[in-house]
Amino acid sequence: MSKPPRIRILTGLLFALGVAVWFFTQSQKTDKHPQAAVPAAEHDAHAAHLERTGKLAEFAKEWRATLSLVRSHPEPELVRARLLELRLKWLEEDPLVLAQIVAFLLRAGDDAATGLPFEVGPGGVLGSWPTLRTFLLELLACADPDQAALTAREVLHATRSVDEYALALKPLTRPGPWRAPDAELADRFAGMLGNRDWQNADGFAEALDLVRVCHSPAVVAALEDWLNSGGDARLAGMALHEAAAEDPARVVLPVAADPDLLADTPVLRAELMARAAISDPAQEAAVLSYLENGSISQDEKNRFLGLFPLRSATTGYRLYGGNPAPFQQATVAADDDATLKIVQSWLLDPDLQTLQPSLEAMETRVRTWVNQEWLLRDRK
Amino acid sequence: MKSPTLLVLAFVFQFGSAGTAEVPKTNSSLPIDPALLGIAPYCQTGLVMTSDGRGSGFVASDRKLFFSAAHVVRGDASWGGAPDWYAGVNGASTPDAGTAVASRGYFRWDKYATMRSAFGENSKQAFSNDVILAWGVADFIGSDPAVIDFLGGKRLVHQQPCMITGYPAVISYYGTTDGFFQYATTMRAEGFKSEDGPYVVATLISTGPGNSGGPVWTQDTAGHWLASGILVSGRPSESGVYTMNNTVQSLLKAAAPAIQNPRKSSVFVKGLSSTTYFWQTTKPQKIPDGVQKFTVIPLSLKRYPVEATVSKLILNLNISTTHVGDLIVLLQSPDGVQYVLHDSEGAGAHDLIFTDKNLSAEFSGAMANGRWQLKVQDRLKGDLATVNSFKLEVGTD
Repeated sequence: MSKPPRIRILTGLLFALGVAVWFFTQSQKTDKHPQAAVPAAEHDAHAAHLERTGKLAEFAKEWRATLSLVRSHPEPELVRARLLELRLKWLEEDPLVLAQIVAFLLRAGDDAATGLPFEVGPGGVLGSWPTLRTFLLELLACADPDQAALTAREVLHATRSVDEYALALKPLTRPGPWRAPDAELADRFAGMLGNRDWQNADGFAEALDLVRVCHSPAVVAALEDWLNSGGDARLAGMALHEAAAEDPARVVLPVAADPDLLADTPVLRAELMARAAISDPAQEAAVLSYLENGSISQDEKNRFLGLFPLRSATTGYRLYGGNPAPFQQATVAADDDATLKIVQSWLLDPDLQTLQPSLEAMETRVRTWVNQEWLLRDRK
Repeated sequence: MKSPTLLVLAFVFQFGSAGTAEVPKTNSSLPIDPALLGIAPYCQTGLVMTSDGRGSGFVASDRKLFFSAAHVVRGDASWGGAPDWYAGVNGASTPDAGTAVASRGYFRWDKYATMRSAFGENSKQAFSNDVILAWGVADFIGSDPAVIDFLGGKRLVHQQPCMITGYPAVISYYGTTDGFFQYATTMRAEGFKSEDGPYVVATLISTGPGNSGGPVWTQDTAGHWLASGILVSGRPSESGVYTMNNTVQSLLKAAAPAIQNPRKSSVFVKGLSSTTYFWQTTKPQKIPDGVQKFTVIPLSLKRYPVEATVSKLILNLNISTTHVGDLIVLLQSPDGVQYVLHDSEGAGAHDLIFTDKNLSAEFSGAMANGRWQLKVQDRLKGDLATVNSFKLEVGTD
């Protein structure tokens, strides 16, 4: 037999009050995270919806238990197991409900360190989470994408943690109508690079992968500026290499256009230039101007010629997008054909005579590849 | 002055003092019978030469791919030239450069340089990422490539008999090999122990510098050879191995478009998936028209071992519609690995159909058991969409 309507309304109100009290008491605890301002009406609408479904109480109970467990400082592996169990269970939920609940828990601001590293696993999913809020943000990327993008922007606005920042960028890079415009991603990327307190964190290193998935020239420029102003050359180099492997023009053209760019890291500059795709006339001109630039050392040019055209790359699990797989056979073959022709003309260029031994070695190497490609075409 | 081609990659190997006459108590590499060079797994083992020195490698998964150790090619964050492959070498003199098959490039883990920089070149963290996959335009060998054993770590740790082949320049206890001869350890069970991730170490088995990148072979119950690991470190009476595991599929996937693998971006090495089942929906499901919210079509998979991860995933999907451009479709594993199958492409074309779409690489390492979700949105009004059938073939190792 159903309850009379007044009793149901009263029960509902009492429950909502209980939830509000819980959030208030939780927010007074010490592991507090700065909260984003959330429009009250939107907050109330979500609360009402979740209250109707009865999901909020269920999730809140599990979240309280998890907070208690993590705050008791158990072995990190125990925390990992608990979080994985919770993740699997919550991922079975309707994506919109999951997004709303995760948004609520993030707004509540409670957090605890897990003792686990920030570690990206198969499919770009974290295999372990350094804090409980990073656990929530990771879930958000699997939840309803429209809601997730809204919540992600709140977090990006308010967070003081680069691990959170890196994860909050994830819903904005998902393919589909939810993907943020390149200009927004570039702004947020520059904002991250500008925060000196963030630069030793794992999340910071992972977020540099944004250079690969955001195609704004501003992202490459921001990374190069960061490198020139004392940023970690290894991290920046890795990110620039992955961006250049997928789309050489994005890196090669600005580097060739500005001789001061990366001048303090000549090996990196030579290797990045070696990724040029010479079948593109603009890149061909950029490479020639690089070789003819008198301010660039012979050592650097020899390093460049020893690798050019470089088609090796790093790969692995990435926070944004798929694993790097940058080379297409047909494109590589076309570039090798073009490179062989151009190196044969460089061998006759009096301005490049000092580079003759390196040019000859390069010509031999590229001719071998082109011959292999012709044999392959003949077989087809 | 040493010839560059005779330099060996000795930094990984630590030797006892020269001239020490110790009696070997170990399974030490011995020269193979040259008559074996034409058959597996010896024909799949090769000499790898770089501008910095020499190492070993093996062709696996595709004739245009060979594995070696990352430190053979380049140890730091910078890039080395593409390595050369020499097959069937067995002689005292440096092989003729004209017999080399030049690789076109290679893939490595970004973590190798990071770990090497943070913990040192001889650290277990560096060795646990010490692998490259070189790719080429031409075939490196004329025969079949080796089959990769993605359960290599488990097999070696569980005392599966194994054998290491390669081209050592020096052998512990015995000294130089005086050339470029293929060596092999005796096939026997070794006591490999986990050190860090895929990196395992065993005592009482040793080779020597130059054997880095060489394969560690096991055999399946039918006697077929399986490439279970890559030799990456050693010293007298000890060998360290990067064991093959599911993450290696990321390297194969990265190389697939470069070698124009017929499986396109998805590489799956057949024959090793020990548990495969088919799962499918039983009823058509209508998708709400013009609703910007995912409809979830679940498939609950329950028959795999508890911690089994995906090594093979084949999708068949049939969605009828008169405007595929309205649809966004993605597949999600129980632990949240997602792959976008369709993102509003195709405008007014009819019906979205995937037949035997191989998503093995995309979901490699994802959890198999649990609730898989096909998520579908029909974001624009006016054209109805129905998921008529959704079928997964999921294999685990």
